[in-house]
Amino acid sequence: MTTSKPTAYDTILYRVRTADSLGRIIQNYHGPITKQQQDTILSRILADNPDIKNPDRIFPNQLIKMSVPQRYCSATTHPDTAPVLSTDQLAYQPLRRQWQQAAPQERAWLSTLTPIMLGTGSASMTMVNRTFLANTPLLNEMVHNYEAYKAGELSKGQYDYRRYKILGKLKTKLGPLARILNTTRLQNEVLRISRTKGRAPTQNITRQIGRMGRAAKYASRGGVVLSTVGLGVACNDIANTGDINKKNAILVESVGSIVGGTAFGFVSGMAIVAMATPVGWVASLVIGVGSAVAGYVAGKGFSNLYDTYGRKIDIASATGVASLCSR
Amino acid sequence: MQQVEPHIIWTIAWSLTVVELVLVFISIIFATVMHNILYRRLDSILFREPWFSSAELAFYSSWPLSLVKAGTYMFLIVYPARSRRKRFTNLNKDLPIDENIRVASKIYLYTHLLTAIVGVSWVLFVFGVYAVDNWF
Repeated sequence: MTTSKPTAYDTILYRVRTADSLGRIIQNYHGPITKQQQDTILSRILADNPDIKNPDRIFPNQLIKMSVPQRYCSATTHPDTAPVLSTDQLAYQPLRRQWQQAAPQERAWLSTLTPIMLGTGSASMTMVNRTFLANTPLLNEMVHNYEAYKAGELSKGQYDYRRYKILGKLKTKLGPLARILNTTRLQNEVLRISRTKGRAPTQNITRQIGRMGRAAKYASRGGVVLSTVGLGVACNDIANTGDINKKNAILVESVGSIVGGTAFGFVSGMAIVAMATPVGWVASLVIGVGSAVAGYVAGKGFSNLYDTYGRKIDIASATGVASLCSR
Repeated sequence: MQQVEPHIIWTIAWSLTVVELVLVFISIIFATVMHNILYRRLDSILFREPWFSSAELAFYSSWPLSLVKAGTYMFLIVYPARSRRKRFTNLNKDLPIDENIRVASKIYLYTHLLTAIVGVSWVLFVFGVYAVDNWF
């Protein structure tokens, strides 16, 4: 879907926060743009704010006058529009843009896929939570080793060797999750000993411990939230349609997805248990993705079978789901 | 919507669906109960390297993936020779479990197998009907 409406702008006063840069602020409000567009916006900001002499030097709490797209600041009431997210949620911007550009049919697919993705996401979140929690002690060990080295209890060689071993273990145990914490930076760079004056030498490591603890907490809560939301989405869809045929179609597709996904899960579980072989990251990801795909395909297949052979059967009313999921 | 006599294909598909959902429900409850019995007795002996990989030690520590760990324990209890050869190599200890747990583990594994078989049958039936209707 495309809109030919010209973009309207609002002028705002932005209060700079710690770790902000002009580039990041522009990207927050304008989304992914070309270098040339970014330079144009930057020149306009510098013209509006003569106190900024160097665009690379802005300070926390400094106020910056800038023009931002109006539609980004105000929520629209159109039901097919994605909710407007907070401007500092950088990660959601591409998602929001994709949603606005999606065709109605693509949006319908997304609503079908959502419960499946949420169900798989819930299990993934559990894995993330446990992985982070399980590896936090390794970072604590790194701090203790450094303190022991500074106290003279460990030689330089012993300390370096232990640090090297811990980094190796972290790399193996965190697997692809390390990217969530460090993005593209290497683990040993993130966990380096700080040489900056006025800072504790182990500050980077303790910061990483906090980051892992927070990630584990969010993942744990996210898992519960996702499970609840996943169950609620189908019920909400059933409640929000007045047409009994649509209620039946949603119910059949959801039940098909659940049966297909769980059947895949039980077969995979049986295989893991019967093969009695330890499972690594790759197998876990294959099972997670496979379960989502099996659920999606099974939902479509069962829906097709209902359309052909069961269209006249009112399952939503017969099973009580229509009255259970109602407004 | 007026209720009518259902088509035989739909009756079979819906019956398989209901049976599968009931089996899934029973299996999850059963596995959760067995997990709660087994982890207290066996985690201290078995839940560590080299028998579980570092990734598994992280994954299987909380629900719902902990049920896979319970399944692994039950497989060891019911089929010790195969399990000790494949995963629990060099495990020489006797496990602190009684005959009731052994029987319950066996019933669970058969229930799980039945759930998997009904699930696969459901998938084959649904897509078999689709294939016959559209491709033959």
